[in-house]
Amino acid sequence: MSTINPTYPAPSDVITAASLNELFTELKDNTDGTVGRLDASNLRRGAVTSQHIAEGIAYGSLTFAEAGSVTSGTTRSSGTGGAATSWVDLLTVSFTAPVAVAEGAVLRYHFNQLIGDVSSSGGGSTKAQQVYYLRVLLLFNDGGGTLTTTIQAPVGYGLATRSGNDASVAGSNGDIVAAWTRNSLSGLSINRTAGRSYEGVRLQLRWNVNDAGTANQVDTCHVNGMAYISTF
Amino acid sequence: MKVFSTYPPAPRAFVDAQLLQDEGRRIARTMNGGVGSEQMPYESISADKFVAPADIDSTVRTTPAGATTATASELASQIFAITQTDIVDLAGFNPPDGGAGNTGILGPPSASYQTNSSAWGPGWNRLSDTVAEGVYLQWPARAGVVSGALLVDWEFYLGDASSYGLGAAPTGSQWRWQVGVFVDGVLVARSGRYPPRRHTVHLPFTVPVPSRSVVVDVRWQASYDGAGTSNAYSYSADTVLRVYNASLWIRNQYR
Repeated sequence: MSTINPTYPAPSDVITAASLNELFTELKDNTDGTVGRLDASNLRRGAVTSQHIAEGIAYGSLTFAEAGSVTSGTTRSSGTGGAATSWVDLLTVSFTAPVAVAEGAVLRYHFNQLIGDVSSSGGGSTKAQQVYYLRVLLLFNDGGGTLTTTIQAPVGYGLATRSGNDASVAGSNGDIVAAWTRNSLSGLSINRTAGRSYEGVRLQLRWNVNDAGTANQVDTCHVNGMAYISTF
Repeated sequence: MKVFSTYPPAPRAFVDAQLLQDEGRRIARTMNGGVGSEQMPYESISADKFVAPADIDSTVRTTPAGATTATASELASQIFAITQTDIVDLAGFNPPDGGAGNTGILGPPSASYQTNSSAWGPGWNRLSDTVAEGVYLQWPARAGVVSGALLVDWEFYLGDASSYGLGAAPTGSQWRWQVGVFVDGVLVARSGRYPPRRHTVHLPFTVPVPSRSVVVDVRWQASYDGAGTSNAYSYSADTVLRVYNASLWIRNQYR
């Protein structure tokens, strides 16, 4: 804390150049911007109000994106017979321009994917394989082009429930429960790398390998996502 | 702090040192802890004027025993922390029936609970008893609000006996599971009871907190009335609950 404490002159003291300037010299020295001289202790309690915070930083703009229809979608298939599967992009929330992020800054995201029509490979295959996954990637740039890293590891959604869960319902394949449901995810990513820029976040889908002769499928319909970076 | 002049000099008065400095000293003394709202223009504080974020990974616990595997950042107005599992091997788990081609699914699970053993109790069970990440956060909170969300991939019998190495599917009509988020032992959010399935629960929550160490943990319940039993919460039959990836994040905002 900078404390300004000039000599207290007595009445009838002779005015000198030094005594005249002492007060102003102390003021100058303690407010010259040197780290540690003027700090939080110089402020009165409650000095800073929300009105002092510059416009636009307290509630920074979030980036929002959406795609797809709420009545139909794109069919995503597992393939058959143990065919290899791969991740497909569902939605990328891209920042208008890459955002330079300080170390410790936090990216928050949220996705909400509507799953439409569903078809399963049936009771003959292992239900553990009738599962699709969602994951979230961060798109970033350290100066050498866009890179990605997984910030939400895969989470699974089964197509069917156990048959006969309700004793009044018969069936051997299980009741399809994934159809026309929303799958939402949220999370955050904390930057630990100097000089990094964030470019966006991306939602992806992939199937479990399917050993059956009939493909497992879901239609991915409307999806929305948002991303927001907090710096203080 | 506003400073008002108290010594208007009189015409033709003598100038002495006391008079000369007293006005200035009063202004200068506001620097000694008296600078207030009046001295700062509105909207004068930009983002770079706030204290830089601090890495507080080492102060955030992710298990009751004190592991510190979370990623956490203390910003000027809020604390963020996240703990998550990282199961990424899509050829890492084979269901128990072991048949040809029945391989290569995401795994292994973070935790498995057998229904034919004392794997769980009738009330809420702490997931942190068996899962090391993604289900427990304890951090030095500051008075304000905590919001966050749990994301947990949960499986309670998919529906085909072969998934579990069984000759025939067990029966029962009261299989249910649910997960809840507890803050300092108080239930603040829960999924509600799900019928058996593989599903990822996304459970947001918001709750006010005081300035002290606060615990957010995830607990679960399941009931089962499978083969040979008629009571919920029995352990006498033959299927499994599995937990895969889990993620728990919090935002503690205090200004």
